[in-house]
Amino acid sequence: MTGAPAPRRVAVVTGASSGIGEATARLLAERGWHCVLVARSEGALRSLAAEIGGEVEACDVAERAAVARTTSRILERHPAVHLLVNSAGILARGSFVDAPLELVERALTVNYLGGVWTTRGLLDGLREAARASGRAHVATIASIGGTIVFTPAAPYSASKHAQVAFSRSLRAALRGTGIEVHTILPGFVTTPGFPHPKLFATRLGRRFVVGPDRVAAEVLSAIERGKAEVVVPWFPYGLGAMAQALAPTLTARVLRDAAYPDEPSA
Amino acid sequence: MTGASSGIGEATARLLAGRGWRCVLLARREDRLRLLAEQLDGEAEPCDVGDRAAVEAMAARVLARHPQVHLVVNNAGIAARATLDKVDLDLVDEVARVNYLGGVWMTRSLLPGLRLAAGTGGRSHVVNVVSIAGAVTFAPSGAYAAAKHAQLAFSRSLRTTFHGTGIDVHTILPGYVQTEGFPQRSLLEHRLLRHIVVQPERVAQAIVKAVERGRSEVVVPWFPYRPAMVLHGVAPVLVSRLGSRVVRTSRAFQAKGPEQPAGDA
Repeated sequence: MTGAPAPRRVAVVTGASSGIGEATARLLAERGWHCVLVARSEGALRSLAAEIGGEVEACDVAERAAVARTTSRILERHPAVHLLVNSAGILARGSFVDAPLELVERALTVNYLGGVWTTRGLLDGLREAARASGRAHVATIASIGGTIVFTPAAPYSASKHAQVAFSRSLRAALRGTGIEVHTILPGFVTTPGFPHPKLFATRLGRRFVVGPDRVAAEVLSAIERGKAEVVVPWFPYGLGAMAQALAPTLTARVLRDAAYPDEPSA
Repeated sequence: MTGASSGIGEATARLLAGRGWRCVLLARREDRLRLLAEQLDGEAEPCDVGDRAAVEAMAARVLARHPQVHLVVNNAGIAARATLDKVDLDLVDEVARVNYLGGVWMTRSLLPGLRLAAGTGGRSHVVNVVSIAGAVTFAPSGAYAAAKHAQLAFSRSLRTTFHGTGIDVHTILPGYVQTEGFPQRSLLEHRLLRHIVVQPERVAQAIVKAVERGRSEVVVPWFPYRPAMVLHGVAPVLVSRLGSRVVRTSRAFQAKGPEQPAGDA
């Protein structure tokens, strides 16, 4: 898809009001994409749209009916959607013993179900783009916490596990349809939703933390190069999933004791 | 014991009762549950674990009768036989509630009983019957795999959280198990693949063994599923790709959709 003379390809970005979603929308706009910005806070979206162009759709991805309404409105305006970036996500700190149950449920809804609903709502648009231009993409911003159990934010980690399985399964299910699914697995990323002040305060910690622009660049590169999965940054996070596959109990315990009380991103 | 009216839950309840445990049996089907409770000299608690209010009400009743709970087996699970681009969205919600959140609600609401049983130098146990689909991408039933992935993370993190408290958490990862909720018909008809299907009694034995010997994770049967898990952890994209082949094969040969690894109904 690099170099294709593209007449305004359409990208829908959820969680676009800040962090990785905002950074990705900015980069996409810079490269000539037309962005539909989706998030709860209409004000933040409007000021972003004033800067980078595009359209604004205020929507809470945790509301299934609202997602259905929003996605059908988008498809009315844009019958072909070339890219969906599922970036909306919330934190859920604590263990399964002390986290409020409402937070456990909300994390699952926003981080996993919201992405399922948005993708399904836009599927016809993605199919149309794949039919007309040969390719369409879904990029799911999961987290390394979706492949490695992270007890300091256990409900978050569980919801991200569901999201990773969703993204990988969807890729397999849509293989051969022209819709390509990319799973992005960031480690710690500093964003307004995930500030990581403690981690960022130490020199060692800073090596493990990246900014949202770095993740946005990896999203674009995954789309352009057809990468199924990207761990950002690969070191040390890429090793974690391997460690867990070989010694899951030990890996979970080490992370409980060693990790900062900040959590991996998106 | 949740999901106790059939399959792995029923087999485990029978085995536990035979070893002297008093079982409180949970499931939606009241008639089946009462019959089994009578046979095992246990108690029937009709309950939909996908309904948080129902779980909390049940837990209050059980704790009133039994201040100490020595074992919770989160076994209830339902299937979602469709890929994520096609599956009914109501079913996606229900599968997430029953297969993942139900276990969270059960454990939280029975926690006072587990703590009391573990309190004076004793021991209590939580068993989560997950599925190999909780660790390996399983595209033919993406919503099931997603809920089971969440449940696996819940189970593993719960174990580290309870470490040193006397509450021991065990994760059971069955492969294909032939049960009422998961009949595995197409696999059992296959000349070679029928050998990777096990019976619920085999999983029940693994559960009891895990509790008695304090094992953190058990894959049943070990082969071929445990090597598949390790391979998936090291090379997820490669293993996931096999999933798309399974999807195409099952779409070509089956109208009703493929079977899925267990976690029982």
